[in-house]
Amino acid sequence: MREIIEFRIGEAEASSLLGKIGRSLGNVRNVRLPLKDERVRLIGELDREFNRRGRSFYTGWSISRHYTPEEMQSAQLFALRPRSIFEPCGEMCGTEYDESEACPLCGAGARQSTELHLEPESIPKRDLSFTIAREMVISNRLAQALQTHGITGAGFLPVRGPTGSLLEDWRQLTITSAPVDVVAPTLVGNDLFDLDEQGQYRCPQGHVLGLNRLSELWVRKESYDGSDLVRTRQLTGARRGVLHPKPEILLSPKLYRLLRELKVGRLVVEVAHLT
Amino acid sequence: MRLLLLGVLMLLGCTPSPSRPLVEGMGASAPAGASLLVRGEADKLDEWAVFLPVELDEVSLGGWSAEALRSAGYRISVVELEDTVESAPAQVAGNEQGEFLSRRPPRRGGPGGPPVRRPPSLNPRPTPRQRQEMQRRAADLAAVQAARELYVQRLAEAQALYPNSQGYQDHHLVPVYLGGPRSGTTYRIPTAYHKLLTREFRREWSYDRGEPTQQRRQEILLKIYSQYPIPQLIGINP
Repeated sequence: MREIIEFRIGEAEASSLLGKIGRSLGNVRNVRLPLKDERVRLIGELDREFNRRGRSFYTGWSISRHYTPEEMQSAQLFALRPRSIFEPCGEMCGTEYDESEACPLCGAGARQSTELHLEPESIPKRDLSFTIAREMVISNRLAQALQTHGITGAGFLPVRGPTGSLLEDWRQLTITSAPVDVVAPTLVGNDLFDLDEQGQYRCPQGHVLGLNRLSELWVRKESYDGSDLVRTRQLTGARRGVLHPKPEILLSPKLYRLLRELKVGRLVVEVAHLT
Repeated sequence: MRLLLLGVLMLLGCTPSPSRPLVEGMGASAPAGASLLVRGEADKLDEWAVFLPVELDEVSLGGWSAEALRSAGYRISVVELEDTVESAPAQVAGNEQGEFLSRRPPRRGGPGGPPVRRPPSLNPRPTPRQRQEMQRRAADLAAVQAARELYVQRLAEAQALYPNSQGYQDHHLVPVYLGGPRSGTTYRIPTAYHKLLTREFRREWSYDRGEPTQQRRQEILLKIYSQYPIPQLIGINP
């Protein structure tokens, strides 16, 4: 497995402190490095130095993981990384959420109380997409294929337009299986250099583990009921505006292979481990 | 009789309007108001400048407050847009380059004329604090002017990049995908400029990147708006 970290750094800061590494995108530079590269540590130190002055050296960052065919073949579960993402999300188009049972500290547990409403023209023409609030939308074609192949743990709900008209081409994909528990050595934190020791983004009641998952995902074997589509009980993220803390989504090898066969676009997964 | 003549002149609109456009020559008129000017390090006045709404309401801006900016070391001042900005000098019609127009010398005083300018009263030398304030105001004014020029340049870039994007769209000051509230502060800006702003935001933090900390989100907003100012906040009504 190769881990690549990508940073977005202001062009001025990057050229004065990092030299010529990375690719310029105008005002911002895209720097991609292997996670074990010495320069990653340097960027972390620079960021800490900037933080002392109330600034950040880099803005965007993400970690991608790349596997050998053998590693993919032997995986027990896959963690889905959303790539096709769009807005406006459901709440901006009339979907309602019931937050009466949500955790007052982290906002976890809000329940979608109406059918999903979306603007049809903003849904990407792909089989599987996510709103910025991580509502899952799939094409009718994919919904039928999942049902035909007996995929377990998946629910299919109608999607409506902002005015309430049924969007025939789309379905909301929900997860009906029992949630699995995230366990160590899964690493969650603000970013690679900030593990949120003060617990600013961690729910004291254990609903939200932190802002972002930083490592591969490890889940407790006993909590997995064998379904093809599973979510984690513990969440990541924060309650901000229309965004809610969100679970990790896991696919069985059977479901992953089916999605590959159906040529579902922008399908990015990582290996997840049962322990 | 003199009063009657003055009344007729006022009706015909011959009197100078107190609310003249602030940015003549840019094809825009400035709304009255003030903006919050945020700057970086104290020793670099011209480093960068970001214009934000004066009412930095924590709720409508998703936790982004003036207090948070101050505690992060940013310098904040309020810029009165209407009072401080001079309009661009309008070109005199028919006055070719190198040609001089003779004019009657301005008449001072006398019946019907403007009042004679009085000599200043005893004017004490400004205190160091007043001098500092004057320097700050001058720097703020320069920042407003620079931001306006930047906006005009960026708008032209946006229109060249998205020639088919006509009309206007509402832009959330704190983008919703970064956790800004749905009902947060919005500005109606040209569609092409909105697309350019959106592209820049996604370059800094794309949709699939997880979630930024409050501090990193603040940094993204300041970076973007220092390069792509919101026109209403620098006195341009797009």
